[in-house]
Amino acid sequence: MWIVRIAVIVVFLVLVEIAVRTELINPFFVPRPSEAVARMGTRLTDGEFLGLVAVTLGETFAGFALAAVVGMVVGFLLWRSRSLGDAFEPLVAALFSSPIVLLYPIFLVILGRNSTAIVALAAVFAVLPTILFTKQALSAVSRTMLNVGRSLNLSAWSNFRHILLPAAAPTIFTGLRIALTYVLIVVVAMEYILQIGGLGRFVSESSLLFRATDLYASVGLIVIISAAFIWAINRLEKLVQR
Amino acid sequence: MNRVWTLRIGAAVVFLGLWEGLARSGLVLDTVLPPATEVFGRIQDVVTQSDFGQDVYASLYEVVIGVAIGALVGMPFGAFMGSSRYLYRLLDPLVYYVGAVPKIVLFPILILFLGTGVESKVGIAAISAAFPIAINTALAVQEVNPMHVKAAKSLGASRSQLYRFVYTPAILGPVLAGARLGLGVAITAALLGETKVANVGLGFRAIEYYSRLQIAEMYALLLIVFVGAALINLGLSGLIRRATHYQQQRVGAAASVA
Repeated sequence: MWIVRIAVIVVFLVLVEIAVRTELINPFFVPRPSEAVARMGTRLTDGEFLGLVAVTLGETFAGFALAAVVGMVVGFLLWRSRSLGDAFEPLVAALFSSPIVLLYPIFLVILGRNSTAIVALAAVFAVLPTILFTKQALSAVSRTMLNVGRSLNLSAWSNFRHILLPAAAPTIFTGLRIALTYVLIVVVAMEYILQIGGLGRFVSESSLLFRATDLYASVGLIVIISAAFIWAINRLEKLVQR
Repeated sequence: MNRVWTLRIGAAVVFLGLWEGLARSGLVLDTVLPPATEVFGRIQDVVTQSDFGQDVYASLYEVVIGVAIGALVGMPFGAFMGSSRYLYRLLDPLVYYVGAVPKIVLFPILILFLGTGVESKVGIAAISAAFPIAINTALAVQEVNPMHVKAAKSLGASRSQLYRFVYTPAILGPVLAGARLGLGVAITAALLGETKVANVGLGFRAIEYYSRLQIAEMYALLLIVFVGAALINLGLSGLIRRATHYQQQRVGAAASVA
């Protein structure tokens, strides 16, 4: 299947290549795909560019770690106290579908125009799916299983460690996967908008300097890196659940 | 009053109280966190600004036209993708992976083609909206119950009757839910684009206030945008639920953000 998928992409690129060479598409706006792909290759062996990738990934992991820890703790609390859950789960769900990213000027004002603001914004956004999925995962654990633990006189900790956690883990992992995707999206988007940090900054600079080949090459690399990232998380999820 | 509302109102009071207290305490600069009362007071100033109507109009125009174009592209593509098992299995992963890319990075390419005016924002809104709409449409077409199709055919339904009475009612709910998701991401995309390159629009105005250090106005404007987006979202999901008795599962909603 992947061979056909790659063939679809290659055919598309070849059509664009022909269109650009015959000037059906203005070559000033779109570089030849062959050139853009070659540029991707040179960028990937360029230490400076790899440094930018490292910055973006660093911000992504920082934001994700924050969102994961806070989100799982809050999700646990919302599950533990029924009235807290009833009162605030709908609020978290509403925030989840609201345009949090648009609040970024507030983060700039409070934290400054730097990586900290980007990481904080990404974490605030990604904490929401983590909370929701953790709460739902724990709520879905059946009463019977918890009663078995109680009748075996397990301590609260063993009950949590050996019954609750294994039963809830798969759904929590789904939440974490969504959180990680969101963090990456917010980090790259904010780097582009603010022109600071890693890959997003590179896209912004390439466009301001009218370096079309670099622009398309870096956008292409972001697509590939995001896809690889999501693929890796999906693999990890499958490994953990086996 | 029940416990749930006591907790909610209590949390809101604590939040606003901490905000007001922290801002008035002198511990933080006024240009970082203006008091809540001042921000709420500025809402009227922001709304009565001479440019406000123009900004709202520009942003709404970008979002509405963007979603319309996104739907015109996304729905047929999704229907095509969902029309056969093979196409669906072939294209779904590609759409899924590309859909999870921060689409705002395509904005500079759109600026090359469409310029720095509203057109480039319409473009980024359309691209962002097209993905959830296409994904939902494809999934909906895939999941039309084959028994219903067979039953209609054996009753002698023509091709157009098949579309009219079997496919359309079956996919309407999920497709509308996709459109709602698309509208949400289009709002984010268009306004984010405005904060980067624009000379009109609510996103542009927020950044203007920011760069002129009119921080209370900036907070007030963002509050208006946030509440407005939430109301549009709520209103639409209510309408869709009424029209189709369909409720999008939250799990499936994680299509794309910016």
